[in-house]
Amino acid sequence: MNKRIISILIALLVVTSMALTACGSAPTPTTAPATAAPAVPVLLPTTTLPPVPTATAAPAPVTLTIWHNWGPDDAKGPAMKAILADFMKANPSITIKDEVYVDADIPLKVETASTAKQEPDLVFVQRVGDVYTWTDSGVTLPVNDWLTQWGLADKFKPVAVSNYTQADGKIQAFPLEGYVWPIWYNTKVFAAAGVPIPTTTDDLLAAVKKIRAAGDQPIIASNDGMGQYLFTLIMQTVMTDDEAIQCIGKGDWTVPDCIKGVQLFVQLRDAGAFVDGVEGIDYPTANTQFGAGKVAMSHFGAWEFGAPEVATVVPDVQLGGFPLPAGSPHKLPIYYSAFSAKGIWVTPNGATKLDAVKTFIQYFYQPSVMAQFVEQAGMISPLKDETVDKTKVTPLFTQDLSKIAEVAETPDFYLPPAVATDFGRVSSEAFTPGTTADKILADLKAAYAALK
Amino acid sequence: MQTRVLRVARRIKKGADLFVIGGYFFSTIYAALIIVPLYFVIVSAFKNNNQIILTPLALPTTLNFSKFFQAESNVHLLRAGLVSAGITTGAELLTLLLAFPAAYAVARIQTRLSTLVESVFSLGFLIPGLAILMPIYEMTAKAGLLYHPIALVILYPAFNLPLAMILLSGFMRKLPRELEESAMMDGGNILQIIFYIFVPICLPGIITVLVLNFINIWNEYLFALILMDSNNRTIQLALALLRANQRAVDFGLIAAGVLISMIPVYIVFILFQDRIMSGMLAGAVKE
Amino acid sequence: MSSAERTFPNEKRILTSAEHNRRNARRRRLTFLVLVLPALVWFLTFMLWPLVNMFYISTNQWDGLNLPKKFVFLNNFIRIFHDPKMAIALHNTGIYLLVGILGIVPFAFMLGFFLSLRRPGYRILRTIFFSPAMLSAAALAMIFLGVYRPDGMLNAFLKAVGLTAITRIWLGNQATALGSLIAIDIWGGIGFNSVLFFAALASLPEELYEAAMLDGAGYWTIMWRIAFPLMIDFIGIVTVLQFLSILSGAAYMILLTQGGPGTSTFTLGYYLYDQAFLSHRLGYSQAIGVVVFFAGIVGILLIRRITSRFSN
Repeated sequence: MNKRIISILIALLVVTSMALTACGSAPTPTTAPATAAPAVPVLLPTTTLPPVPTATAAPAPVTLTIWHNWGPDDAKGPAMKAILADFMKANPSITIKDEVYVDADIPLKVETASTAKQEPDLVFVQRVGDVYTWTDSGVTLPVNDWLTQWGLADKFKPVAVSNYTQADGKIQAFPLEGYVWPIWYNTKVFAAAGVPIPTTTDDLLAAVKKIRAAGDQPIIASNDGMGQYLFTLIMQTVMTDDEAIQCIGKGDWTVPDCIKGVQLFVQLRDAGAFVDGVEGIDYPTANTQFGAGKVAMSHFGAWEFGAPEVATVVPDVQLGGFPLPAGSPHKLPIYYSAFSAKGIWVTPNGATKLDAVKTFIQYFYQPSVMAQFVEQAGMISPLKDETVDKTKVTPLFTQDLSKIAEVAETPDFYLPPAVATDFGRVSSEAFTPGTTADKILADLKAAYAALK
Repeated sequence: MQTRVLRVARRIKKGADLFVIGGYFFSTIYAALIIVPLYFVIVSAFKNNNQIILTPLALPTTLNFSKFFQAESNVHLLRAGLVSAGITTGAELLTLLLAFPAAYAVARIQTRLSTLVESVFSLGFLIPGLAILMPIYEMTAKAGLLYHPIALVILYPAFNLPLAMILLSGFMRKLPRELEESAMMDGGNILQIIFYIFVPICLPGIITVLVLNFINIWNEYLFALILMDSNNRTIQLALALLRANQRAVDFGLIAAGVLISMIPVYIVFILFQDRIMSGMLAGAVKE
Repeated sequence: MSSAERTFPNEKRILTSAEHNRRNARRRRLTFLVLVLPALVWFLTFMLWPLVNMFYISTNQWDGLNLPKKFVFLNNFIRIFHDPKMAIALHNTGIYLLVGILGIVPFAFMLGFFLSLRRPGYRILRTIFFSPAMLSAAALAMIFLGVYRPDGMLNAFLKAVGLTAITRIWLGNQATALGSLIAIDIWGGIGFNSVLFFAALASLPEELYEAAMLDGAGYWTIMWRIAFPLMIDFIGIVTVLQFLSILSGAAYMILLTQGGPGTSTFTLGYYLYDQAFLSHRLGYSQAIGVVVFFAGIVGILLIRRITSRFSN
């Protein structure tokens, strides 16, 4: 390797870098002006009067910036792309500049941008964690007025709207993505073990024995943020939603049913209800192992209905809730279902372009548009009108849960963000064999002590 | 006398051989420990999730390059690579331009300010990146450079200066005093000394700094995330997008993307590793 | 008359040696400043102001980037003092540092020395050893998930060689989680630092070793009696770098264990990240940053003291 080659390479890189930084991107006016240039082009210089807008004049061009995570790899990516393109064709005066970012990065990016008043106009993000605080801190604006003014108030399912309503009545965002998060029962595995699908804890314990005797594994979960939801779901089989808010939400772990919930979890774990080595399994592994067909139950959300890893077992899967112990306040096995998976949030920047936002929102929430997401990505539509082409929808989606299971309130709505990571760590040690219920309760109390 | 030398020589050779054999032995084991995981990444790029999780080290059944193309088309990986390359080159040059004279000054000029300045630069290591995220964002926005790669070209040298200073000044300190004295006697001024004498001699140190900085810049995520938009993604941002949501992960796709992103780093390293070995110091002293 | 005092009619007075020294010192200082100023300005702008900012915010209660700050003086630090999680974090970080540095630096030095002998194949080995450093976080996460899974590569290997009894749920078991993460650092750190040592050792003249070998010394002796003393300063630098990287490191915890299971992998760096990005106690996280800062200073001074004692 001699000097000449190196210098040529360096020269090439320098030239490339210059070329890139030159055409790389003068920021478009809406994303990053050094001064707060308005998105709408400025009026003509003061020596001439601006044209008087007539009723038939074309509206001034506007650019809406949208941040979301539905890129090409996401099931909703293609639908999103097509919908945005169609929208722009139907509304030539509005340009949508959509930017794809990693889900988990969006809150941080929005918040940093917001402090410098550079935030996007609309944000598609889930209502979890610090996003909760956005309405109170002013990062986004409540949408109550717009819901009514734009004729959308009664188009949404009431539960979808209430999922986004704060205690003080402010509606944080337009609900978008709903999900069900049921238990998946592999009927073949149950048949091989000679047991029916359990609906009570006793049935479950009996089933666990027979399933293991037949050489299969009972319940698979992942020991991470997703497995945490199984931890809470099992505990909630013993509690009412109000009690869940008391302990998981407010940290009062002296509530008797909450203590029973932890004990139930430990009982199930020690009875071998979870696959061997569950404390070391991550979410993709859980998918794959369930898809291999030797596991009886799993806890996956609707986003997995079309996943290739589980495709082979989907025909055998019956969805349901988690079995209830004797004396449970619930009537049917429980599962989570909510609309917090994605909402459309409007920022102060977006509020300056209200007409364009209104046009976009009204377009986006047409049943035919929503149907594309439902058909292609298994999303639960937030609209009352759910006309979809049933033939295009993934088979699991058509299973009706309403007769065999009931919804429990997901912790997303009351688990305080400040406690979330500590709670996750306690959940992971709960899955570890050998951790006693007392230890779990003690650690839970300690986790919530930080709230004071 | 002759036999004594021969005996000593044989003993040395045996001792040397033992050491070398041991060296090769442990090196091979360690190299294997590194190669196996890398091999895992390489073969994963041709497999689907099931195969990756259930049979991680098995050879792929087909040499299907589709994931590589998918990685590129989904997130424009190659374009992100060019952006990163441009930023890295600019930042590297800037770092050297700033650090080299400063390192020379700290290492070779006798003045009491030396230790003070060195300590100031050492402080840089102690600053957690998260702590300075917000102020830097505001600075960048006020300067009108938000979402422009130039912002990173200007920012990264500041992060890399402490390391560059330490490594370069460490190298320079060990060089003999005679270097400057002989040059000054020939009538050279400071800049000439630095440029014509020290730069060539310190080439191993410079290369080391360049390679280390390259890796730091190439793999940096947090500031690139906050300061760039989706048009100006760096390669790490593009890579992260290959698993845009944490629920559905295509490991093969990520593996393919990772491999693509590592190619430039390997090229840089292989290109420059010869320079590191140049024993130019020996030559200079002889003169 | 001494030559220093002789003057000539049309020339400036020749300076006394003391005055000469002073003028030289001034000129040196000026040159020094000119050379150092650009780097210094750059550094101060982007690092110093934010550092001061960190100290300032650590005296505030600040619960969100867009929420107001509240000055609470030293409250955050008092809380740190009483915080059980802080004690756990310090404990885990201490173990990490001890095992990590002892596991990396000596072996990296020895490997680097072996590389510097430039035996056949050293270039290939060098590239391989350096590879872990070139991997980004995404790659490392993927690799080590695959290694540490219950049915992953490590357990598969142990089973294959008959060591089934040692297989564990590495990342899910409180007894092994921290060790598993430290192992990742050691895995990459030995290779990376060995190449650094190679670069430093490569600049030593070959005659040095030859002379010693003629006196009957083997490579092992040369390594510790000759190369080691010459490299003391550089070893100190490498140790400091490794120390600081582990002290504030959080990457593997973020990617693989989130500080768990339980609190077994809960370290200082992760605590800082957690409070800043997950729990949104920005003021408290900066207070932790201040603690990390001073711990870093103490560590650097300690390492400097040790290396200077060695070099005497």
